[in-house]
Amino acid sequence: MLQVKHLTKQYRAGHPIFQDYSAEFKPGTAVGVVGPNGSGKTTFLRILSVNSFPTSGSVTFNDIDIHDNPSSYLKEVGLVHDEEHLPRHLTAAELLEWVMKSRNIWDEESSDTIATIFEKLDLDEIHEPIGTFSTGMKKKTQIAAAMILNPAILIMDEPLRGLDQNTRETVTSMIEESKRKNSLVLMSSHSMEEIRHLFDEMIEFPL
Amino acid sequence: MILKPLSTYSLLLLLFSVLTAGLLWAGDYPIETRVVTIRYFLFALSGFIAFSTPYLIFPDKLAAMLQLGNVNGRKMAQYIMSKTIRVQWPIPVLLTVITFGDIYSPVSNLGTKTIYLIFSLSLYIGLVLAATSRYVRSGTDSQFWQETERGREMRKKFADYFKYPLDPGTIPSMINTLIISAAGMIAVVLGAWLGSNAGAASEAIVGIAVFVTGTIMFVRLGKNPEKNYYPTNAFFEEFFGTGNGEDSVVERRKVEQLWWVPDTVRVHTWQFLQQIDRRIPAGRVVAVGHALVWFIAYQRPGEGFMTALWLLFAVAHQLLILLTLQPSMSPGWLLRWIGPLRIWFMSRFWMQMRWLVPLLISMNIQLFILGFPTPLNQAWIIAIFLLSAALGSAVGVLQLKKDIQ
Repeated sequence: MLQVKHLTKQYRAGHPIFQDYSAEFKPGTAVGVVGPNGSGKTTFLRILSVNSFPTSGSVTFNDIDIHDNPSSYLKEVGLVHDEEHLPRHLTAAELLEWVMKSRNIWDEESSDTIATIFEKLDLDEIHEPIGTFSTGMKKKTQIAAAMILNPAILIMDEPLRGLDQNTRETVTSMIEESKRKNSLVLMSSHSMEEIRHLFDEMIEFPL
Repeated sequence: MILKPLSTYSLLLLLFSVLTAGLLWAGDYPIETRVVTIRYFLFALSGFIAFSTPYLIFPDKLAAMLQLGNVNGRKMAQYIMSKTIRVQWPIPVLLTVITFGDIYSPVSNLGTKTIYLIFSLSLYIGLVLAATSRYVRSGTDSQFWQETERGREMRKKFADYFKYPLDPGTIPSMINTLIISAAGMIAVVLGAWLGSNAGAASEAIVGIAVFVTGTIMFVRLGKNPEKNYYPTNAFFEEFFGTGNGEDSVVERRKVEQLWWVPDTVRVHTWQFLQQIDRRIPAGRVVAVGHALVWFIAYQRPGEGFMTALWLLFAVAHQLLILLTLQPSMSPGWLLRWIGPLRIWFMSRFWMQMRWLVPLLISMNIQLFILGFPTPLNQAWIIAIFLLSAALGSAVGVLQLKKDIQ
C-alpha cells in the first residue's frame, strides 16, 4: 500500500503547491490525477516517483519511506515520465532489454515478450535508435518499458499525450489489465472524459 | 549572443588552471626547448582541431532558436565561431604561457618569443578558421553520400574489401580531417625546417600564411553561412540520431560479451558502450590518439615530456565519460528509476576499462622499442587513468543527485 502523509511541497518559502495532503492508495486500484496546467499534478507524480523530494511529510510503500529507500521502492515501479527524454542512441528493443536485465527478469522468451508488447502498441521500428522517433513513438516506448515489468505501482504522467486514437484504446486496455493483475495505477491526463471509467478514485488539483 | 557564457568563477578557475599547467609544463625550459615544445604542441593540435571541430558545432541544439530569430550573414558567422571559441579559448592562452611563461629568465629572448607567439597563434587560428569553413560546408556532400544509391554501393564495397562497415556519409568529414590535420602538420614541419635554416622569422611566415588562408576561407563562408549551416546541422542531427547502421559492430554486441565487467553492472555498462559507439567512432578516436603519441615519441622529446604526454592521453580518455553525462544519452529520471547511484558510478568506471589493455600494450611496446615510459612511470600513468575514470564517474553521480528537486 502506498501512503501519503501530511505532504507539503513548495519550490520557495510561502508558496506551497500543495500542503498537508494525506491519502492511501491500495493495490488493484486506479487513481486519476486531474487539474489545470500548473496546478501541481506533475510535481505530485514526480514526488511519488522519487524525482522530487517533499518539503515536509512523507510517502511510504509497505511502511518503507520511499525517499529514504528509493532503489528498493523503484524496483516495484513502472514509470512513464512527463518528458519524452529517452537515450537517443539506444534502440527501443535495447532499452527494454536493459530495463528487464537490470530487474533480473530476462529469460529466453524475453525477446518475444518485447516484440509482443511493441506489436500491441503498433510500434514497428523497434530496432531503430530512439533518436529518430517522433513524440508519440517515444511515448509508446516509455509505456512499453513501464508495462513490461508488470510493476506493483504504475505511475504515468500524461501517457496518452501524442498517441493516436487506436493506441490510446490499446493503452487504456493495458492499464485495465495491470489493474486486474493487482497493480496500483496513478495516472494524470488532460482528456479524462473518455477514460474516466478506468479510475476508482480521482484526485483533483489544486489540492 | 544566445550561447550561455561561463560564470566568472569558472572562467577564473579555468584561467588559473591553464596558467598553472603552462608553467608546470614549460616554465623552466630554455628557449630552444620552448620552441620545440611549441612545435610538438602545434603538431598535436593540428590533429585535435581537424577531428574536434565538427563536434563543437554540430548537431546544434540552438538551431531552432537561430531559425526563430532568422540569424543570418555576419551574425551567423560570428555565432559559429563563438561556438568554437568558447571551448577552445584556453588553447591560445596555453600557447602564450608556453611561449612567455619563463620562470628563470622572463625577459630574455623577448624578440624570439614574440616571433614564436605570432607563429603559434596565427597557425592555430588559421587552422581553426579553415576547419570551421570546411566542416560547415560539408553537409550537402555528406547527405549525398549517406542517402543515395552511390553511397550505398560504396558502403557495400568498403565492407567487402576491408571488412568494415564504413558509413558513406562520413566520407566528407574524414577527408576534411585528413586535409586539416595534414595541412597543420606539414606547416609545422615546413616551419621547423625554415626556422632552422633561415631563422625564426621565416617560421612565423608559415604561420601567417596559414592564418591568411584560413581567414579567406572563413570570409567566403561568412557571405552566406546559413546556406551551408542548416544542411550540415540537419545531416549531423540525423546521422547521430540514426547511428552506424544495422551491420555495425554495435548491432552485434551482446551484453554477455562484456565478460570483463562485473555481473552487477554489466548490462548498464553495455548500454553506455552501445550509445557511445553510436555517437562517435570511439575506437578510431583512441587509435588516432595512440598514433599521435607514437609519432611524438618517435621524435625522442625526452622521457619527462613523454611521461607527461602519456598522462595527458590517459586523462583525455575520460572525455568519453563526459559524453555519457548528456541528457540525450542518460536522462536523469530514467537512470534513477533503473538503479541506485552507485550503479552509475561503477558502470561508467568499467566502461572505461576497455581502453586499459591497449594503453598498457602501447606503452610497453614503446618501452621495448624506445626505452620509455619506464615501468614506474607506467604505474603512475595507469594510476592516473584509473583515478581520472573514477573522478569522471563521480561527476556523473553528482549530476544525477543535483537533478532531483
